[in-house]
Amino acid sequence: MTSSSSVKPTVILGLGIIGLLIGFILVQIYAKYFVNHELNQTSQDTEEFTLPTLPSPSPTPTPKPLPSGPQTYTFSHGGLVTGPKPSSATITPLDPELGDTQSLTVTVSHTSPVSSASLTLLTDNDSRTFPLSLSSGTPTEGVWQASWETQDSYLQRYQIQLSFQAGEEVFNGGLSFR
Amino acid sequence: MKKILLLFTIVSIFHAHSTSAVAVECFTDFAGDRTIDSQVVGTGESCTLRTFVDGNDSNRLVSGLDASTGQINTAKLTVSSGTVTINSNETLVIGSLELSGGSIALATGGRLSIGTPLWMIDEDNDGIPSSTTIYYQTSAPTNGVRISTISNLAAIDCNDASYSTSNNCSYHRPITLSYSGTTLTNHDVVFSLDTASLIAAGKMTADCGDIRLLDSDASTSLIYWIEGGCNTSNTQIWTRVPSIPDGGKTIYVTYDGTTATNGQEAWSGSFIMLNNTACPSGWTRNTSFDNRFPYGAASYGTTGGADTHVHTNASCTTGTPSAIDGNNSYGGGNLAHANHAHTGAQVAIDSTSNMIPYLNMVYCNNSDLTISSGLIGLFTSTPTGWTRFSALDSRFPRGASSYGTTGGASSHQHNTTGGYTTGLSGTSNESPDGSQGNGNHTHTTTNGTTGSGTHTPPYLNMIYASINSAGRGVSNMIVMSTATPPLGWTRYTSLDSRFPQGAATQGSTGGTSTHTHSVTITTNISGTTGVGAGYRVNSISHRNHTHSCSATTASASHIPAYLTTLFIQRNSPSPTLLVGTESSGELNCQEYNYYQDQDGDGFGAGSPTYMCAASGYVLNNTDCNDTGTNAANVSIALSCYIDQDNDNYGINSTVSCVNTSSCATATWGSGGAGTTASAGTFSTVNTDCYDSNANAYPTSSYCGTTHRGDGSYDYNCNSSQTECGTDYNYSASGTNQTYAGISGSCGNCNRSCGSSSNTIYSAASIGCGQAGAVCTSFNGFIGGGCTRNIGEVCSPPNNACEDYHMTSEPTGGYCNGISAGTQGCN
Repeated sequence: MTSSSSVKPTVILGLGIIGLLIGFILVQIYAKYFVNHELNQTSQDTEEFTLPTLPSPSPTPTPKPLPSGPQTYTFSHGGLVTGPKPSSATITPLDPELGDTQSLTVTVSHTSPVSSASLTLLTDNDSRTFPLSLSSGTPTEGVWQASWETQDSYLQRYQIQLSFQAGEEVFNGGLSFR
Repeated sequence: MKKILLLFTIVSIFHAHSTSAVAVECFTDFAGDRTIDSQVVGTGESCTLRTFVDGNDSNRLVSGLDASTGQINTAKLTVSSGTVTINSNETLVIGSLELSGGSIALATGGRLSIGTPLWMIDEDNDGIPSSTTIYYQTSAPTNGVRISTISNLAAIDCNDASYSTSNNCSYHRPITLSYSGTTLTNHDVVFSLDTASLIAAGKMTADCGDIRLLDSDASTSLIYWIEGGCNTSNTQIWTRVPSIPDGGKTIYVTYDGTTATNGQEAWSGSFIMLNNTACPSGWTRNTSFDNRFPYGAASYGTTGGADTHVHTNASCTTGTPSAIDGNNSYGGGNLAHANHAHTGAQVAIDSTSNMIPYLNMVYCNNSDLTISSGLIGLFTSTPTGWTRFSALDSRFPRGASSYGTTGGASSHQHNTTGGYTTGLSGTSNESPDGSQGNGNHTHTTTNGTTGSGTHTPPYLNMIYASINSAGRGVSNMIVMSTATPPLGWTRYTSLDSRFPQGAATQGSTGGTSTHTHSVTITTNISGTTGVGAGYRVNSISHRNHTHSCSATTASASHIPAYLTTLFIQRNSPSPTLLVGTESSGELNCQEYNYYQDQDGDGFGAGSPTYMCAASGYVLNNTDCNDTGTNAANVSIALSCYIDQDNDNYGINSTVSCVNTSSCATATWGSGGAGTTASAGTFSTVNTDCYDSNANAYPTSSYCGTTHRGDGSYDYNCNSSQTECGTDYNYSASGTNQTYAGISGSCGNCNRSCGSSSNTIYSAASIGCGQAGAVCTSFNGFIGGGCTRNIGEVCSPPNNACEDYHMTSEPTGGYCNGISAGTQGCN
């Protein structure tokens, strides 16, 4: 009892202090949110209208989002396409940084051996042609490969034109990423 | 043709190898099946299509073609050359795919969706999507529409909850133009707007450059120009309305407080007004006018004229001497004759001021016509709120740094300077004695003045008036300027090549550019004149004589020192303008049921669309032929009747569509009544009784030689057969009906209207077979190859039209008993 009677004022004092703190905090919160909110509402009420936010007029995400990393493409050809035909191509990576090495491998088959192969890289400000070399297989059924260093941006234009020649027959097609 | 939309990214790399391939956006008309080949986009080019966000996976993109409705997509994509690439984050949606001479490269992860419809969200169905998102799925997403119904893929609806084709979510106000009369074309109108308040509220940019004016369709932009500066409570905004019809129209002003591009028409000129104090705030003194007068011209800035002028020397041949010798004395042979004269009497004319009556004024410039109190303009009549500035009455405003000095005059004289020697006088030989003096003499001219000359330059009397309190321009006011404003003002050419003189009333002209003077030239006494001392009274000149003569000076320009300037007059727009209250949200014009007008003739057809006014749509649906195949064959609906025979009377054929606004001038055409008709006109009446003969119509007096075409002889549409001029067979029982060889008939006597025999014969009265009847125009066979001759007068014994000849050997060998080759009255 003695101890409890001696603790009681302390507890009451502590509770009182806590109550005051909570009250102060509540007052601050009120002042910060409720009062300001009301003030803001008053301010808004004095405005006839709020300025509209106009959406972008362009329907196209710009620049067009690109997939990341290596990308493999499978080709299908129409019946009127002649000459050596690529069946697949892999570009690594599709989204290089400037200075990064980029490579393309293309699997090509044809009844006649491919005598020359090259690619042209079209980017925003540049157009560079690289020879494709046979990395595996044969000129009639082989994998052709080229590598190059990325030197230009490709935000707007990003295409690769492929050219394979076998005798008189030529394939000119390609890939367009942007 | 099926409606097709091709979206997203498809790139065709063509067979022709090129190192300069150019990406172009193609397939943006969304109509028809699509073939990707070099003929579409050009050799060496690639074709990049629109890409949109995949509505079911925001990390992916969708492109494609769409056609048909419901749950299918029939749009066909044919790749005839090159390669279509589908990246791993892309889906190509089409109805069907054909690879003919082309290829397709499908990345791992790339998708090709065949036959699936494409959708976009367009809640208010105004053809403008809510976002760039596209859905490809069989069923429609919420508020989804087939993509073929999207009219504007290049925009995102600023308020997809409200139908509007304007897609304008700026603040906006309607401006009602009240007008009655003939349609006004490209008419400039002006309205007032409190731009200061709008700028203060953040609704308008500080330069008013975000203001836009839209025509009644709430879409077509109109040009505008602010006359008196922005950020004022009474900003004057001019706009040019292409067409203001009888009944007026409503246009719109919009602003958003954010648009950076200034839409106002540019103008680098300045207004120039006069002042009787220093230029007010905002105005700059124009020193170019100092000591110069304004001179009307098509361009500003040319100087000319002068403050003084001079005439070249004046000269004349003198008159006779001022005195002769009256003594009866002998004078000898070398005396000057009493009637002698001198050539070359000459004086010089000094330079004199040609300053016209002037009042020094302060010229002030401002690019904005914000008229401070006291500024002075020109008028044809003094407007309300202005006071006539009478200090300039009968005076011209001369530029100066300060106001008030007057001077000048309307006329002037010149001083003349003599001292010029005249020509010799010659001598008289009337007396032989030459001892009395030297008759052959000269004089020198004396100083003097010219007559008065007027130097008022070409002028137009104008009313000068000053504004009572600060304000704006008023209709018909005239000011000087360095250039004509883009809107609202017209150059006042009446002051071209004239100076504006102040007056109480406007309009009088006068003045000239040049003038002359009269001048009297007088000589002094010659020092060498012979003396008259002979016997001949009054035959020689006195030794102390002088001469004089009258001359006119050469013409000289008196145009004062000037600076050319434009005088421009503020327009007085006809319509009354009322600016309505401001609204926010999507601007939506007044919508009505509109009909498509494909052939552009102003008349629509088909089903109505509840929409804003738009090009190619009209409010009527009275076009009977709106094929639009040939814009020249415009069609309107009229109740015109076919007048196939062009006799101005139509028949009750069903025609209500001709290619003109008047039945009288209507012609056939592909947009008209029919493509098979090649001739004929139209009429507003349908009372023709027969429409294949131009002689047959109501009130016609025509009597044809044949029936009108349908066996009837009713040419005047009175339902009575009028067989004038037609063959007529008489009854065998009629008078004198029997003639030789023609049994029981007169024999096809032919009668024509208008001839001597144009009496309408009747079988019962006169005709062939009667004496006096004439056989006319008779060509009919009477049988067996015998024809009758024309002109035979029927005569006794039988009064028959029986003159005939054999034209060919008839059956039986004879014609009424006459042998072949013979002829004559029977």
